Amino acid sequence: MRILDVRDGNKDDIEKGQAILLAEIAHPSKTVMIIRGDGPEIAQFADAAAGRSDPFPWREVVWVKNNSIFKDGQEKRLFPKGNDKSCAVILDLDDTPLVWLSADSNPLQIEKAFLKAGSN
Amino acid sequence: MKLMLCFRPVLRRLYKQKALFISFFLALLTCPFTGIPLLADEGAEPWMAVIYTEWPDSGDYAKEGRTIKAERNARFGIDINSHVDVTINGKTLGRELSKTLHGGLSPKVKTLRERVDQLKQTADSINEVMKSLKELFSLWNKAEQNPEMWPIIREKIRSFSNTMNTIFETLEKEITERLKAQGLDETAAQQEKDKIMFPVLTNEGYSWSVLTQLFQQEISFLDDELIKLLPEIEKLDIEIYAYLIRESGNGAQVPIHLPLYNEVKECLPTRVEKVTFHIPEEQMQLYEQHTETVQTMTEAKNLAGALRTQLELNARALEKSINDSFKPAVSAVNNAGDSIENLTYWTVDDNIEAWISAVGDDLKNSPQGQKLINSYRNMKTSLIATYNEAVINIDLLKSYAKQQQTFASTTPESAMMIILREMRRTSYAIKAGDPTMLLPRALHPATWMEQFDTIQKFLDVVNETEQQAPAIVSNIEHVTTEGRNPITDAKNAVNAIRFVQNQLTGIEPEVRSWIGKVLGLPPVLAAVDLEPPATQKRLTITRDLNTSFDLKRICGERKELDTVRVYYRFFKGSGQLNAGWFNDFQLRLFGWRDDIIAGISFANQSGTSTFKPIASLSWILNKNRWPKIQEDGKSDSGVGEWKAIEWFSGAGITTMPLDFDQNQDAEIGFAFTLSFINKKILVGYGANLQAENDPGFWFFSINLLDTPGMISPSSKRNP
Repeated sequence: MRILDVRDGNKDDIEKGQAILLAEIAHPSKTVMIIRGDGPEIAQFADAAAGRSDPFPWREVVWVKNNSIFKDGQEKRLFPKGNDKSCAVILDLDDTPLVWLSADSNPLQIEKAFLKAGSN
Repeated sequence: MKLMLCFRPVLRRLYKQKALFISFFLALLTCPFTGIPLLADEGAEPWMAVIYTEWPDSGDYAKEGRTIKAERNARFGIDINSHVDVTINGKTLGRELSKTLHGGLSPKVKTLRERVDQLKQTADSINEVMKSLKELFSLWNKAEQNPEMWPIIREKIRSFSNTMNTIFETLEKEITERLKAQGLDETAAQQEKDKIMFPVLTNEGYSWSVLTQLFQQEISFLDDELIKLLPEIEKLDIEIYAYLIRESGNGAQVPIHLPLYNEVKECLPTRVEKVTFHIPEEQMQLYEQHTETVQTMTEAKNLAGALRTQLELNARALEKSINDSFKPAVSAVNNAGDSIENLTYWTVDDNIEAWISAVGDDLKNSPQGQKLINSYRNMKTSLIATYNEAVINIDLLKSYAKQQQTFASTTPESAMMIILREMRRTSYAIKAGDPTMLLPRALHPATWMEQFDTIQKFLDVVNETEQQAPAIVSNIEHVTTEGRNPITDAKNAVNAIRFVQNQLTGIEPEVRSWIGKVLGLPPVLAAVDLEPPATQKRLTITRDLNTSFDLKRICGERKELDTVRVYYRFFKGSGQLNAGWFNDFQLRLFGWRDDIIAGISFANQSGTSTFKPIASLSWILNKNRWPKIQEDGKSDSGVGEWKAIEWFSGAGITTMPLDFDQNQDAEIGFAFTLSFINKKILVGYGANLQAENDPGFWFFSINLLDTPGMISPSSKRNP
């Protein structure tokens, strides 16, 4: 799991974070889960997500703790209306957002979300 | 040795292809022999209800048993000293047999059956998805070096995810429906279903065994429902009986006691010893024939000539039987000779060293390659130590307990008998914990077991390397010195030898069983469809149906490659259902075993270039691996088909009469020996016990045909 955060609005952190996020999304054969936000519930979800991603090299979890890492409009594209309350999104192999998850999702739901994104 | 190791991946590929062909061929042959219909009614699969557990009296499965799932008319290999429990799931049997009953079935029964079939079908795809996951991991490792592979990987990920999705959805749907039928509301059923499913997810990915168990559990729940709706099941009877059938075809088939099902007499338990230190009569007979044959042979001027003569000798052995068809074999032998000649380049140490160091740079760059190098070093160190020790032991033998005189005044077969007797004595002394035995280590069977294990460990690393990092093996194949590569040369030579074998295969019916033996094929049983023994009983399928058979208590001698055939028949009243099948259990010697092999060897004295043909006797110790049980609980068949052929097949001692010293009347050669391709090729290095100077010699022996009468057409044939 990649955890991206920003120290006191540090520009360098933001740029590096953006670069990492872009690189992970651009990988030709990975289904990428992007988690947003921070807090105990999100941390617990991120932990469960990592548990379902770590065994498979073609799955990646990127936890964006600070939303200033998202480029302009990127967060809206990832979490459009109807899914704007979700804490995570999984992109399919063609980098299209496909499955959205709430923070209370259990490992089985996370697993099935990864499988759905992988089969698309 | 180094050269020999290169053959293994090639052979395995060849054997895999061969295994497919053989399975297909046997599948075609089996049904006409048995008279059992090709397909049972409406896809009934009653064998799914039967699970065997093999309990050998020693070795890998002695404590926990080896589970074998019954399959229709399948053949399995089991240890010759084992007993087998037969566990029959009555519910599964009832469900499957109900498919053979004709008549009006309620829509509810039909729906339940469809659900069971859907679950079974999905559960069957678990094996495939496991394989595709393994393949995906392997491809992923390769793709990181080869970006052009990403599109293939994406398709593989899609296919894997799709199948896995179906597996999850099918199972979740069944669990939820069952829970709702048991009275839970939608939300509670979902939560309970998630709890049941969680153990499938592990830190490594998935627990395939838990997943399989959950499918079986749901099928079992549905079976319960189904049985309640099928009262006719109670009217069905089962009959199980078994016979020991000799591989040789000689003697009557022996009925076997199956508790509950018959009253066949059992005898006192007998154990087949696997390490016997004994020369079988047929090998002694063969040795005598070889002794006659070598009188008519001349020495070869170089290694290539000697190799060619060996192959010609094997092919010529068939000349009388297959006269007209012999020409293709001769032509194949000539081609093989040319291919093999190329190998002589790799018998020169400098050439191998140059190639190994070129390969070394390639290997050092990866952890797996480094592991391979380390393992090779360990093996080399161990082999050198063994060789040195063997030389010391030969010297010790000379002075040990007046045996020098014994060896000096005797023949190689007597020398071999002395060695075997001493080894047997040592073996008993070690078992009895007798500290007074101070024989040279070469006579300790444990020494040879250690050597075998060291070499096997190295080969396992080679094997593992090919699977985990195929790029390494593939790169090694491209490293050349002076434009040559030993793997390519070895592949060509192996293919050429295989071609010779193929030319010799199936030409004449009378030699088929011999050829089968040569190629390591399981014998095809004669057309037998045996009737039940006199005391046979039929049982209603709703009662306890479990039974067992004990190989050790069969009344009659049992030998390696004999078969126990177990028949299953089903009845409704006096009418037989179209649902029977049989399973064959081929008796195998798993674990440590020894063999005495008579052969014609070509020996080369140190410092000379000529190779002398000599009749030899070898004692070879080998560990026949126990069949593996895979992650999904399925067991390898354990039958000695192509895939079971061992490239490295043992280590031991060879004795032979040498004639290197004009001043000596009798010279006995005593050589440390390695064997390959199911003991068909022997290579060894040793010492002339009587030589004063330059006692060292090395030898090789190719014995494709090893049955008395097959070698040496000039000498007498067996009637």
